[in-house]
Amino acid sequence: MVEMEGSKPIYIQIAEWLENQMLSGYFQPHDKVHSQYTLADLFNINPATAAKGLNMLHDEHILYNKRGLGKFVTGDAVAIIRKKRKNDTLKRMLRDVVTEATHLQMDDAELMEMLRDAIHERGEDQA
Amino acid sequence: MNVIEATDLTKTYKGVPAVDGLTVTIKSDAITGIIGRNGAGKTTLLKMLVGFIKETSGEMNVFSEHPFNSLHVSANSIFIDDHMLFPDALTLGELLKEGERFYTNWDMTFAKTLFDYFSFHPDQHHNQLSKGKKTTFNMIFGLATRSELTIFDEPTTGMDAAVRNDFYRVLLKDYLAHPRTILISSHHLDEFDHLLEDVLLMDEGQQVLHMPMDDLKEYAVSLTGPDAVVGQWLYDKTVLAKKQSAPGMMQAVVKQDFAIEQAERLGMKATPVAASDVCIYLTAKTKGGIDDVL
Amino acid sequence: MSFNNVPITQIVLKQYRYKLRAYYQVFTSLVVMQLLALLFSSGGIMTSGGGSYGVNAHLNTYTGDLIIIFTFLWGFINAITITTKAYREDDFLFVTNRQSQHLSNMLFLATASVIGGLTATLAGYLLRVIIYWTSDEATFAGMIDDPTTFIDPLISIVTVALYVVMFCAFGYLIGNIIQLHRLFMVIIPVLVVGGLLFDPPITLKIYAFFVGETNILLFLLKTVVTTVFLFACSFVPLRQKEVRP
Repeated sequence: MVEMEGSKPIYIQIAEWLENQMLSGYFQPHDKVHSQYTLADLFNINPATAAKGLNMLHDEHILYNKRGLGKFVTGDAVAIIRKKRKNDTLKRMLRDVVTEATHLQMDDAELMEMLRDAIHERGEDQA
Repeated sequence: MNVIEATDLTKTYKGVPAVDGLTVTIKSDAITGIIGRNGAGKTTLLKMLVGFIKETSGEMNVFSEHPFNSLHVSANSIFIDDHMLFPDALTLGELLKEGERFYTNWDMTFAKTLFDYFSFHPDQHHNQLSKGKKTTFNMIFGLATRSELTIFDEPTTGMDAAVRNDFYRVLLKDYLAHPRTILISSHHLDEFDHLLEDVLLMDEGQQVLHMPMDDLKEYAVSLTGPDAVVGQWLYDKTVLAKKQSAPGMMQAVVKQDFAIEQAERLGMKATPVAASDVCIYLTAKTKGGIDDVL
Repeated sequence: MSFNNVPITQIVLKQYRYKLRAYYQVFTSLVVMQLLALLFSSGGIMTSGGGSYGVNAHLNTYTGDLIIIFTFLWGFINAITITTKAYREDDFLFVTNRQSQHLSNMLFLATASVIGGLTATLAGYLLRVIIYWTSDEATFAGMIDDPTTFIDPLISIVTVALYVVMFCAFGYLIGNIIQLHRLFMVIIPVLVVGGLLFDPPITLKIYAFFVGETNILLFLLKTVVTTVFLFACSFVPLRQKEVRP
């Protein structure tokens, strides 16, 4: 069983988990992904919730249907996921950062400095 | 397809309605949670569905038949709760055999596996079991019947936390392997909300809402912000609850029929509201709480 | 969806078999009742051994009156017992509706009555053996002079069984009426006592109606019709009876 976390809706967590599997290369384009029943068992959730996660990915053209066979990874799934995460997730996180910075009465320069530091740290970690 | 169709269903006891003009349809092969406070009419509804008791007025069909005195409904449904009394004359092992004789879809391998897993002994008698063990046995019996309509009324009463988790896990796995219509009534939604496809929330014998679980989880949002901002925002919203969270700050739980970003841009902090809390707010007797009457 | 389609006859038979297993106390209580009757009967003979011939002859018809009376009582009480909440609700653990519940109850009570008739007859023979060994020859000789002693045991079994099943049907009806409302627990005994006091006593008339019948076929007709009628009446309150309301 995979543990759930946070306050995010479960079907979104399912979708993100599948996306991560695609980003990491576990699922390649045109691979069949888990069925709603496998996901339900894996995450200990109702299969309808799992189906909702799968359908979300289908609507975003990350998965496609083969009638009677299940859902498969599209050719440009990874590109779509990356674009989506940049536009939605990262933007939203940055907005939260800006909001918090405003609360703390930081000026823009100070915030930019922190961001540069963070990038710098990542560079060191990777080195 | 709908397994259950009820129209204006009413059941009164000595003139007091327990179920009061309920109109509801339950779709087949889904797990539906029947949620509500004590006395909301959950058990009364469930007992009518399996033909134990008869409605006072209104119409009701289960598998397209009126359940009271329907052999077809009885053969294809099971009602499990902690008040089930099994005959003292038979041992647990014999009870399972009786179950096999009566229920055509009975799965004895499944029953025996769980029977051993929960350390029951075939020579034990039901009336000698502890409360938690009784409900555990009842659960095994209920699931093993593989009834098209399987009803659990407050199934985890008396079970310890470990058994409770096992129960919900078994229920889900068995449902995945053998999809069928399962109703679970409880007032603790948070305990098993992950299992549910649909939720029927009842209060005072009536339906408060009936929707997919995933929608219920996004039904409401909690907004926190300065009094003035929140107060202004609330005027055209459906407010489920509100309180002073700190001096000058207000927290309000509102129906989520707007874009959250809008509220956040005004400086309010939005947090999700758990489905179980939504149910509590929707069935609260007063807008306040026990603190307001004492 | 895959439905179980079950004909009512099949369910009635399943319920019947279940009841034979689950209600085994009914049969242990039969043994206890008849043993008690045997004990009282043989004791009664010994103490009244020196009494008048008439008393003994009356006490010792073909199976021993006390054994039969106790068996009637047993049938009556057990029929009431199976109409009580616990028994009624047990049925609904398994597949049933009120028709199949009623029919399987009837089958069970009929079976129990046959067993009651059989054991009562056998116990009657046992009583005679006991009396042979425990009483003086004159008493025993007086007993076997009684023409009813040599009645065909089969007829004895059938007659007793028919009486028992009639008592069962009566108890079953009373039980079901009491389940309708507690007040009947008071009303019914009052009616019975009232019947005894009534002039001419209705209870005696009923007694004469059955016991006074010398034609075996007419007796059969009377008991069977009465039993069927009583069972049919019982279904009226049972049909609407709610389970665990």
